Amino acid sequence: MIPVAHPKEPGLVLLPDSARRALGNLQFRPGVLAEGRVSGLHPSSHQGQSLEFSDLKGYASGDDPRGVDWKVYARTDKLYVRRYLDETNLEAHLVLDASGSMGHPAEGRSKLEHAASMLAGLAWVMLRQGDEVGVHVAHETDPVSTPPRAVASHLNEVLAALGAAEASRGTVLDRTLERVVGVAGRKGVVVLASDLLTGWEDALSALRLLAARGHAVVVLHVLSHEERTFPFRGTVLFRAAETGESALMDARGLRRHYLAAFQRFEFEVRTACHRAGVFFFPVDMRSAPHEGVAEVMRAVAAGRRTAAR
Amino acid sequence: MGFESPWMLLGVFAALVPLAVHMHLRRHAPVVVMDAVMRLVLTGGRTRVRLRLVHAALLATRVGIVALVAVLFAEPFWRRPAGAAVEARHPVALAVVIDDSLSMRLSSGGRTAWAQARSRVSEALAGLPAESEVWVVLAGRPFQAHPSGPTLAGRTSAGWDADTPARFVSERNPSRTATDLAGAVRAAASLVRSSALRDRRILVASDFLDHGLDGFPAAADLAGIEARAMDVGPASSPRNRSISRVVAEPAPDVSPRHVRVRVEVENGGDQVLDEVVTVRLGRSGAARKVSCPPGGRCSHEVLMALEDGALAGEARLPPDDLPDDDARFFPVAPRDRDAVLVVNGEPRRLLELDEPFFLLRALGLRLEDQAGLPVTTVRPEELSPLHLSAVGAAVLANVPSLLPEQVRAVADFVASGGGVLVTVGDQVRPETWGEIWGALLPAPIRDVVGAGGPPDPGETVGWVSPDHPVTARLGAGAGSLSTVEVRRWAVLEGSWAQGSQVVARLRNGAPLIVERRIGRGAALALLTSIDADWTDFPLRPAYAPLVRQAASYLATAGGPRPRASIEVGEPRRIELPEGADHAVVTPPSGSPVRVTVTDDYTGTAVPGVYRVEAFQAGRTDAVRAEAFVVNTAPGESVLTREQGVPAALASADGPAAGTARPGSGSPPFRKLALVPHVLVLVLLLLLAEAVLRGKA
Repeated sequence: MIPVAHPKEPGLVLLPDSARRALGNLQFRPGVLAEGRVSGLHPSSHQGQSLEFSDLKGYASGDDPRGVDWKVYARTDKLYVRRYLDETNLEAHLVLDASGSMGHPAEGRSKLEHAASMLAGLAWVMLRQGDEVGVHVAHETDPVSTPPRAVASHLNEVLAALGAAEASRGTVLDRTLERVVGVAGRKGVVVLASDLLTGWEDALSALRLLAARGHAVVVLHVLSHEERTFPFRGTVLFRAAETGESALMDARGLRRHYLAAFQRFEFEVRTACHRAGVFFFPVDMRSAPHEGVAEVMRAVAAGRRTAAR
Repeated sequence: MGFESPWMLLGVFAALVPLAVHMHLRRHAPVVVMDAVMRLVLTGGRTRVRLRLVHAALLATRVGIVALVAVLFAEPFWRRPAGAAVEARHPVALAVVIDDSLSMRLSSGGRTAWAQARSRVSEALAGLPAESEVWVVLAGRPFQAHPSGPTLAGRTSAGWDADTPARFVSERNPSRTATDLAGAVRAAASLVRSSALRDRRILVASDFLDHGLDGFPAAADLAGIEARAMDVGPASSPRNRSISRVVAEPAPDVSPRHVRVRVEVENGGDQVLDEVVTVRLGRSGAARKVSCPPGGRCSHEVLMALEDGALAGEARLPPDDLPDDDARFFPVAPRDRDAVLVVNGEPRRLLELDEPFFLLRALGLRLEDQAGLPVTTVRPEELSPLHLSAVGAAVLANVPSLLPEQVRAVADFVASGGGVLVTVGDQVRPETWGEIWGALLPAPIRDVVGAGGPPDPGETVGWVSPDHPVTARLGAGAGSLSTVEVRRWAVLEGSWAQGSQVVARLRNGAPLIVERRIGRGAALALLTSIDADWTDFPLRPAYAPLVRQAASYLATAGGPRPRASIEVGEPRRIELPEGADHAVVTPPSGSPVRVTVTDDYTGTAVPGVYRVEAFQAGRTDAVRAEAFVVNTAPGESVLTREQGVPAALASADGPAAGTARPGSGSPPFRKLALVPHVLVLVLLLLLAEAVLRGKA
């Protein structure tokens, strides 16, 4: 039973009741051959006692005679033993980029809050299905990590870690992902929620490594509606939260250059993720976080992974 | 570079407005914290550099526009060397008017105004495009245009090719004549208007002193022509002094061979003139110290003895910056055509009994429209060519005899255009008198007859020529000669010389007034006395009019006579006397010029004494010797400059037209208005601003 957080706790902000109700019937099946430690929903990379057929194996001394496939024996006059997949849980590492740029927009819900809400929803769904969930928040200083655990009470720790995240000036996203590479020993899921505005090439190198090790790697590309459409007019003083740089620009004249650069940036990131076997999911912040979570889970479950396809 | 309205440059501070607006917007513009803009566009990459450059350029452009608008209102101009006075990129019709008058010889700092004008005109001509039509008009009186007619663009016209103007100017020297700048500019305008080229220009290089600007064309007279002034005048009025006038007059009160030379000195400086003037007449000379106040004129008189053969003299001051007007030449006793010389053949102590008593009163009488005539009276032994050369007519009143040279002088006087009235009287001895005066009368005197003494009535005048100028205006009645009674009169021989005629006769048919034309002059003879000894004519109303008419007629009988004093550049008529086949004119330079027909002599470019000697064929001794003097125009010595450059001329130099120039010591510049250029620059910046705004 998943504990219910106090209304004033960060869990209610990140994961309100409406989100829990919407996500209550969903399961996250990324389709990866997990190497869990306990039984779960996900297919295991080892043979087991599940109902899902895996393959046939020639009978050998010591095999359980109940496993002989007699129909095959009748056709081939040889003894084969039926083997079934094992089902286990998986280990999920949720990485939240808490760089300064994630604090945009200053008014309303920021990218950081939206990303944290989505990761909270994912964590809630995965903890409910018995998966181990760990959280890593990439700050300006050393990353804050919560080791993966599968107990239901771990949700509070996850929500607390996500809720405590604040947009810092810089980021150590690449270092955080390197730590994830180090701690993610068993095949599982790595979800990164970031705008990738800072050092995305280095971050993608770590993600590529994780994908190569068999992890299901998902990138939630979180960008605000303003960042996607650039709706500004008139003379505007643009300021970078991370570097403190500012520029007084005519927004109308700048819009064309910005949109072109943005499309080029998104295309490059998407292409790089595709080549690295990383599932790239652009997040529309106009929809609720839990809707985005549901869409991500459906997309990943449908096998729309960009890697190895 | 300069500005017509420099105070408008304060508006340049308005260029800070775009900067202020920029700074204000930086402080108060809406702030958007959005790293995506900085990361994707404004940080790194060509887009960022380009956008930053565009914004900086946009700001600079706006600042520049505001600043240039302020500069535009300040009306900037560029000072360019005056050599570009006729700068043109296409062929032009150009008339260069160069003042080559005397005042252009004025030296300042070791360089004359002419040298400056010649140098700068040469520079201007050197920059003309090919196919241009160029005339050079010299403004010394009389002005001369070279070539006189239209040229053919780019082609030789009467030896006037593209290089000729510059060469012509470089080879010219200034004259010593007066200025006719107005006439030269009008001629230049006429020349350039005769050209088919549309770009017509006049460049006037002059010192623009006041004496040359009378009647200068107005701007309307030069419509359609770009007229510019090349001012080479002095920076300030130079301290010029000159001899403005020299007059030599007989001094009969001293002796017949003395003259009084009156020298007038003009001091144009601002200090008292304290110099020595030297007067030379023949081989004799005299020096007088003169002292003139600043800006004043002083006159000094020198009494000098007249040597034989001396015809002219000179007065001279030590040379100054304009040396040509420091010397002035004068003829001895210049002719006054109204003056009458009376040779009194029977002087008496009792005034009423003096021979010319009635004559002098008639000549000195003020008539309706005539003042009294100046009269000089001499005794027969005092008569000299000097006296005759100073008058228009002479009266020989009852002169018994003269020396042969005196007779020859009278004959030459008449032959050269003078007039003589000969009257008879008690002193006349027909047996000798006729031989002496035979050359003047139609015929020698045969006898002296009379109608008897008082109370017997004399013979009256029976006929008067109605056409002769002397008697034509007498009319009839009391004012006529009909009532004149003549008691004694001379009778001439019957054979008269050619050119003789009777003007009046007595009732008995005897000639009373006769005339003989001799050479260019005439001799009238009244064959009775001029006083009341032989006739009552002096008591009649017709006496004074007839005497005045006779004096006037005789003074003009020879027509206009060559002047003894002319200005530089004026022609002087050289007349061959009767019997001479050629004359030799010896100018001051010493190179004689042979003249074979009566004609105008034009080689009067140099001031000085010009000696004219007439010779008969095969003879080496001159039958007649005379002289005329050539002087500079006195007006050229007045170097005032109050008017400056005429308003009709735009300045090819620094100052605006119509203002006094800064002086020849300052470098010559001309203004080139930069307003159109700045305006174009503003428009280009506005265009750039629009383009940059689209790219920003």
